[in-house]
Amino acid sequence: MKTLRLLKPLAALAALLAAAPCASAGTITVASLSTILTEMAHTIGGDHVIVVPLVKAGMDPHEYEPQPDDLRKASDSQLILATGKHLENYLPKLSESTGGKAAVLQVGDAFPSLKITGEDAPKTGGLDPHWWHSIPNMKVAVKTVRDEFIKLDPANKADFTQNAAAELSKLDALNQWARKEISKLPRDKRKLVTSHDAFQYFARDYGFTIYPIEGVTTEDEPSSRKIADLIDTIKAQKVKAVFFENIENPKVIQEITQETGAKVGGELYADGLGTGEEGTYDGMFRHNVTTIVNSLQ
Amino acid sequence: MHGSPLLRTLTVIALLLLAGIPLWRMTHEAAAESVIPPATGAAPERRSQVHLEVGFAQKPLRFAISYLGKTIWESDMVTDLTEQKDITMPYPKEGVDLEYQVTWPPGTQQTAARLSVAPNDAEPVEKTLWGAGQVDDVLSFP
Repeated sequence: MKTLRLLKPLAALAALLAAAPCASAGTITVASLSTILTEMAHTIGGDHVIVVPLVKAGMDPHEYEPQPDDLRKASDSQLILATGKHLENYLPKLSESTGGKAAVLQVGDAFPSLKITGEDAPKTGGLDPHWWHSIPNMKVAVKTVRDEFIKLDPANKADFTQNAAAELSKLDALNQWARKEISKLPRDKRKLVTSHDAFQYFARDYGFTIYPIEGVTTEDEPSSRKIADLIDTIKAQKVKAVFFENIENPKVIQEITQETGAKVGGELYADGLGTGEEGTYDGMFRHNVTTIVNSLQ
Repeated sequence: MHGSPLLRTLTVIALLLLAGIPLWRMTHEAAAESVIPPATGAAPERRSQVHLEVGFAQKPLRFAISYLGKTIWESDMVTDLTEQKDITMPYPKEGVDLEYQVTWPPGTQQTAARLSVAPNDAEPVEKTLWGAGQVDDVLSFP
């Protein structure tokens, strides 16, 4: 009888513990519209997050349109991660078709934009959407995603916080490495001719001037007049190399290099991650910096 | 016997002209060489007299300053809290990035190192790095 009296509170305690939410039980399903954000969600979320990538490596996010299967996947998610800054012009339609069940986080809205002018301005609301080429922006993005995950799954706050802190340290180390590498390049040689205008944030952080062949989007082919003007600029500025991108057709670049004598500097990752070593943000950024520095030295 | 005076005059003129050819070549090649751009095709390097000054809150064990990956000033026998040096180096109008490395004795708490740069007697521009034990970063100067 006495033993039973002792066991009763223990049993009640056991029942209470079983009913309490387990810290590792929560799982958030996240649909991602960016390869950069897909990796970020994996890194910060760890085992607590299931990430469904809708835009995959090698896909052009400027050209992407959600397919019926993508809409279903987005509907089944609790959160949709988007680049923002008008890169995903289909977002209102996507939200409508999913019935607004999934929250949409436009990560790029968390920090100021570089403004653009010219033909592409109306398509992007005058905002440059390629914010991930700036490591300070990436750090704000990590904190933004971390806070959203904590809001959706507070039980795993400690893990999200720890994972985000580790990622922030990695980004600081990457930025310091990049600054040292780029410091090997005289500031008067920091002139980048690229397929499209995706590197203005990078240019701002590391002191480059960009001469793009296309505008901020990849939708329009450059006019022959624009190419002729660019050839004149490359000659006048004595630009040593012209870079193409992982997504674009390098045909126009070959034409420009033949006319100017500039060499083909190599392939840059402008609109997202690649595959293999360039399949991570760290690998993509190191690849871009190394390619640029080696070609312009 | 002595030939025609006209012939002798023409011979002297011809000899003078022949002697002048190498002289003309020498002077004109030298003049052309001074305006040939560097073989790299880049614009001629703009070299400047640059006044550098370092300052420390606590005396470090060593410091080094590098430009374009090459050390331009280093010391592992720092005697004063400030030191200065004048050097001639390329200084484009876009400015320069200098890598500044400073190492303090083990156990040194958070401290600061300053680098001041003044090209061609311009107003100096100062930048400061903070750290404990060691700092190593790139500083940009206009």
